[in-house]
This record gives sequence, structure tokens and C-alpha cells, in this order.
Amino acid sequence: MANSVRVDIRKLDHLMNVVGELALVRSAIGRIVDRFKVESMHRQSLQDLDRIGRGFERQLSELRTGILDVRMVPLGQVFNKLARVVRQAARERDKQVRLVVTGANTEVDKLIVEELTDPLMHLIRNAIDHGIESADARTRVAKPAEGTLALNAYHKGSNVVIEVEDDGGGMNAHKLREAAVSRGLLSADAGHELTRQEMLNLVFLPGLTTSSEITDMSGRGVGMDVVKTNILRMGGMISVASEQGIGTKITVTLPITLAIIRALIVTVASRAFALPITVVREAIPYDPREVRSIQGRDVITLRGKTLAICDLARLFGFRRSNRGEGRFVVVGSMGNRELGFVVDQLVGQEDVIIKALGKSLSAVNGFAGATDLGDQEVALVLDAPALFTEYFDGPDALLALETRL
Amino acid sequence: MRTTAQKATLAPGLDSGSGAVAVLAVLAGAEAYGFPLSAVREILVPPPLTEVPRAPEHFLGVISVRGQIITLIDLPKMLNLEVEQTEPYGRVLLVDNGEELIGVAVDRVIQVYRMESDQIEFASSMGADLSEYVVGIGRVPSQSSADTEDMLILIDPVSLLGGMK
Repeated sequence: MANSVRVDIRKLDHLMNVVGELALVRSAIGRIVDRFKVESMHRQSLQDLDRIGRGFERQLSELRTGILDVRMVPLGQVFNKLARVVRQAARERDKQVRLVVTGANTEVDKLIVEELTDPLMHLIRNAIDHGIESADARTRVAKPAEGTLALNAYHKGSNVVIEVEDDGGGMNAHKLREAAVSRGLLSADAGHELTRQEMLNLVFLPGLTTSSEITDMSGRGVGMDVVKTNILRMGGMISVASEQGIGTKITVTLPITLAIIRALIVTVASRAFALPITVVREAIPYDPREVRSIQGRDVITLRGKTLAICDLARLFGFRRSNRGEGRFVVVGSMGNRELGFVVDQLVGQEDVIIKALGKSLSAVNGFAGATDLGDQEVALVLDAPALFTEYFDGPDALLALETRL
Repeated sequence: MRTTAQKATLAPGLDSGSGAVAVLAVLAGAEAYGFPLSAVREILVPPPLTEVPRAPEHFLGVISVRGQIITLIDLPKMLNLEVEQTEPYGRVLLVDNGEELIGVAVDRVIQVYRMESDQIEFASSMGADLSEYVVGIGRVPSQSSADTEDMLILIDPVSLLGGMK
């Protein structure tokens, strides 16, 4: 600790911009070399220049990795704060709670750590307020009097997963449904068709959170929609699993860094877009003849399973010139959901630096930022969580749910 | 808070009645606009534009300026004027409010004027239904004939950038 420095994160952003600049300079030099190659005069010198250029590029990517590395901090920083919250909440509620932490060394981007404290604090308070039972109640059902709250963090690909798990009373899915129906968030008919998991997911609905009545009944739902919104804003996902009498596990999945991602570059109506590779499962040729419509939603069948597809050109209001030949479906997956994005061309994979869109454009939904592809060409980075939510949970999605039933 | 910012950006010297302010006059969609020169960081040949789907109409899209992503706006549309930004626009102004750089598409740059306060009619005193982005109207000697005056719509960069909806 004695050998560490505190750095303003904006300084790192600035360095990252400089690296981006250098990369552009490097590609400009590369193009000049290519031009000279055609004229093929000083062959040897050109080869040397080419070689030096490649070395330069390697160093540059190391520099970039280095800067990103500086931004990383262990999650333990947040977990320490949370340990205090656990002790305090347990005392207030007169419950016995043991906190078990694993993966405190897991590193994530500083910005994410800062944004993460509030949502995690919320989840922990929920678990202690409503999840873990009193010592008496626990003893009655032959559970140890002391409840266990587990906080687990680990890396999974280029994501970091954080689980908040308690061995409390679990959530009552049917009561959640009743609450949603009585609040008018769901029609009674639609409610009957829900699977157990879908009922549990209702806990994230805004509006299910406001009433104290629901909190007493179902035990959950205080500000869970806010937690979800915060997590989605960071490009993450949140899911819930719960068994009555056994406990509840909330799983938060977040990108390790917000600054740089590996992306699949695609084109839609001649415009380039970047799709974070973490959500891309595969890309398959698109055949318009295979498209079926179910309640106004386009679907295709992929290996015997129904896959909802979303034509990005239509979503963004672009007019296409051709009639759909040679297009692709990029299959995206988040959590247990899958959605196919119809695109025109697959350009390739690239490491891209995500730059935020200006404050003026922050209200526009569906884009996580933009990235410079070189030559001043800008590709918008698709905000996959937002698009998934819009498709599956948006106002239109609810409508589709109602009409399906 | 915005009113103090307005004064600060356009004319620190104007309130005291002395001193002039440098105003960059530009033409956009057949109207002439004035920006406080102090807020204009750069004048660019338009870089390639990437449109942003679903953005309000007055946003033309985003451009990349030395690795920085900058929002480009259509000034006449922003001010709800009937005239449209003629395409292709000739220049991009990079305007700063201390918080965000924003690109403003214009047809061409006219010139820099030094304006005294008596050349400016402030929107507050005119009582007209002016856009919130407008500080007032400036009168400058006409370029075409010596006897007449041209009018500049003076833009408040702070509200333009910060108050954008």
C-alpha cells in the first residue's frame, strides 16, 4: 500500500485518448507505406519501416493494456464497506448473520466499483431485512440459528460475476404475481401463464416496489427496479433465483472494464455498428423465407428452437437498398435470453475503445457509446442490455406478452 | 445559475457599458449567427458524419475529432426555424461551454466582429419569443452596402450545450 499513488481517473482517460491518437497515426503511416510499396522504389527501407511499424503497434497495445490495468481495483474495496452494512443491518433487525466473502481479489474497473456500491448495498439490506429469518424462525425449521449471507465474485470471460446469496426464506413467486396483478402491472390472465421464473422476475418491475404491503407479503422488491436500472446502465445484467424455504441468489454480471471491449463490427444499411463480443454467441446466414411471425414478432427456428429476431435497420428506421439477400443474423445472448439481430454484413472483430456519447445524446436509448474505427470513421456501439430490455421488457414487450395470452 | 453563465460567456465587458466582445459570424441555412469567439475552439472542414438513429432531429449525428466523439447539431433546426441546414454544410464549429465540446454545422464563416454593447439588443429587453439559446440580436455593418446593417442571431453557447433536450 505504501507504494501506491492515487490518480484522477480523468488523467487515465486522457492517456487512453492519446493512445487512440497514436493508433490512428500508426495506421496513417501504414497507409503511406502501402502507397510507396506500389511505387516500389526503396524496397529495403520500406520493409524496415514496415517492421518498425509493427513493433510500434505491439508496444502501443501493451501501453493500452497497461493503462487499463491501472484502472483496475479489487472488489474487496466495496466488500469491506458492505461488511459494515451487514453488521449494522443485522443488529437493527436483531438477526444473526454470518458474512462469507469469496473472490475479494477479483479486479474490475474503478468506475464500475464506484457505481456498484449502492446496488450491492441495496441487495444486502434486502437479504437481511426480508430474506434471512429471525433466529427463532430458523430454529423452528431446523436451520442453523445464524443465517449465512454469501458474497461471491469471480471472472467469467471478460465479465465479472457477483453473487449475493442468502439461506433465508426465499421468495414467494405466487405472491409476487398476485401483487403485480393487484397493482395492474399484469392482467390476471397473463399472470396465470407465467412460469415460476417469470414470476420471480416480476420483482424487477417498477411499481411493484412502492407499497409496504408487498414488502410485508412477499418479502422482496424494495427498489429492485432501481438496482436493475443501475446495473443495466453499467452494461450489466441481473438475475434472480430463489427457492422458498431455502434461500435467494441474486446474480449480477458486469463487464470488467467500460473503456475497451472486443466487438464484432457489422454494417446495417451501409452504416457500421459495433456489437460487444461478450453478447455474441454466433452469426448465421439470414434467410427471409424462414422468418415466421408470432404475434407481430419475427422469429426463426435455430436448431429446433425458436429465436426472436430484431431487424436493426427497421429498429433504427433505416431504408435498405437490397431485398435481404446475403444478410446475417447475429445471435446475441444475455443471461438466459437470446435475440437475433439482423445485419447486412459482418466486417470482423476488433478491440474498440468505447467513448461516451456527449451529454446531449444521453437520452437516446440503445447505444453504449461510439468508437473511432480509424480514418475518422465512427461506429456506434450497440448497448446490448438496453436493446434486450427494450425488446423483452419494454412497453411493447409487455403488450406482446398480453396478446400472446 | 444560467443567467450568470450567460453573461459570463457572451460579454464580460458588456454590462459595464465599456469594452467590446469578439463575435464570430457564421452563415447557416440563410441566416447569420454570432458566437462569442472565446467559446469557439476550432473551425473544421466537416469530418465524416455518423448519424445517430433515434436522436432528435436537430442532432445531425456524431463526428470524431482527434479521437474524441463530438455531437454535431443543426443550428436552424435547434432554434425551431423553418429553414433547414443546407447540405452539404461547409464548416463545423467546435464550441465549448467548459463542460462539453459540441459541433455546430454551418455553411460558411463570415468574419469576426468586435461588437460594442450598443450594437446588441438583448433578448430580455426585446420581449420577443426568442429561443432559449439566443442571447439577442446584434447589428453589424452590412457587407453588401455601406449604409445598411446586417443582423446576427447571437447564440448563448452555455445554454446551447448544457440545456439541450
